[in-house]
Amino acid sequence: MAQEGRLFAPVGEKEITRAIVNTFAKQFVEYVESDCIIVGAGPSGLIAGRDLARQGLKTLIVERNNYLGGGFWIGGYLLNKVTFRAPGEKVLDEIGVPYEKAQEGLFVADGPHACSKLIASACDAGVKFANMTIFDDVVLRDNRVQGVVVNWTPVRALPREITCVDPIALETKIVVDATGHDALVVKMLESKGLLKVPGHGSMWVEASEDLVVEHTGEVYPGLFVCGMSVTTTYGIPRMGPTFSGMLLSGKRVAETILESLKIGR
Amino acid sequence: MDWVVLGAEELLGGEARKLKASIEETGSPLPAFAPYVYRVILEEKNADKETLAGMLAKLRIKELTAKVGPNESVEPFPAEVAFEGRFLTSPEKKPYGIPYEGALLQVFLRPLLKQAGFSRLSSLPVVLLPDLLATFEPSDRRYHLRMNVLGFPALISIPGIVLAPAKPREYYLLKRSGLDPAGLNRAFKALFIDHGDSRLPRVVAGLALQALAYLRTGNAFCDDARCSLHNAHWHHELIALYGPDEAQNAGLSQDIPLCSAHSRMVKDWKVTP
Repeated sequence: MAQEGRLFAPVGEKEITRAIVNTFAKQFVEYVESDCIIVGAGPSGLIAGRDLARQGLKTLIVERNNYLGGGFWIGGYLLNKVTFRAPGEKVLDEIGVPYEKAQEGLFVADGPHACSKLIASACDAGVKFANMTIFDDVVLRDNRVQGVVVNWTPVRALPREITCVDPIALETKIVVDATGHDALVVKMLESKGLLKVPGHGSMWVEASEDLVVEHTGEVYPGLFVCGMSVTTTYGIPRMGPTFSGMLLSGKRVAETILESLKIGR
Repeated sequence: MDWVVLGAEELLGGEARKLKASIEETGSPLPAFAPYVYRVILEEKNADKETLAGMLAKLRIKELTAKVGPNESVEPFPAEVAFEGRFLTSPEKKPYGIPYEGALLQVFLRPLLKQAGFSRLSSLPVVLLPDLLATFEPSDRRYHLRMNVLGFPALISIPGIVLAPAKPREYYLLKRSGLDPAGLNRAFKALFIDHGDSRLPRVVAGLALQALAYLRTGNAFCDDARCSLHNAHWHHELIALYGPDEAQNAGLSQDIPLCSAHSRMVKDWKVTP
């Protein structure tokens, strides 16, 4: 309650710090074990997280940047209009993003509006985030991915002599690689000799979006891929600055995970 | 010699009749028409769906500029096999964009089609496919997309007709600059044959005649650029052969242009089967 003559409540620095640390720690401890960890908070990871959380899955999204949304803020060439080929506009309807029709089968929305609505929609569904957190390794047990090893992003940015900081592990039932063209989780398995990744082909919007959605799914026991990671994993053409494929791939991976866990069907 | 076109109904839909009419107009022996190749193979129980899907997944070319082809000893991902399995009997729905090794696909299909009753001597199969086909070109040591692969069986790639022949150089320069592909396609509409183009069945007919010529004479191609047996590498060559799209929309012609020598040759096939 504000003191008379003051706009804000009389709370000091120590109380603010305690509030940050306590709530963060409480959530962190709770999510040391979860149903699903999605690595990458781009559009496919966000929509996948949203759909999983809406079905009651305890879902954590790990994002190496401070900001969420990946490339969804910008439509391409630094222009903040994002495009969707039909039927991607149905996902926009679902999360309440306004858009306009550019031509038959092509829709345009404001990047900031679409991205912020998608983030809010994931948060509303119950997804929790570990941002500024970088994927470091997988937890591999019984030939199945059962978690991720993570560290603070800044640890990677500083000289090793200064930041010799060990990472920590988070356990989960399902890991999703939504890290875009980097396909970091899939490539980690490749570095262990468990997969062979061809890398993505040239940009080819017309062909890529269908193929991405059709190849979305489990790539190794416990590891699923969605969005741009799919193009790298299977060597199929990469998408250009259009987002329906990513949204539908995110929805597809959620469906596949729910199916594999026998939830929601 | 009889010949059979497989997959016309599935891949050309209502336009399959144009393919038939075009071949008929050349005076060539008319082919029989059969369902899509994997439907035939599965119906004859020459293989099960999972085996076919697994083999097809192994024939994917992951990078056209790769110096080596698919490694058949590498097991494909389950998602790749599942993808092939989903579209094995519904080619009309299969998304294109993945190139397959054309020569290896031919080797893979050959015994399966023989078991289904096709043979080089009595019944030549011309297989229409919803997939991109590529073959390795030793001169520049990389893969190239192809409209067709000659031999037994003869393979014709429907998306390959759109994507294998070169479009004008400006098209690729503008595409590299990041222009919207849909807008680019609209701007160059008159300069290439696209999906749904009314000339597609006639191009397929020309490629099918190339396949038949190759099997009968050992030489599929004609040096005359005004003959459908000419090995076109550019869209402008196809357009010069088959005319503007609008004329065909009006139903003016089903004609497959042939030079006089090849026109005589295909008519003779009726006389000397």
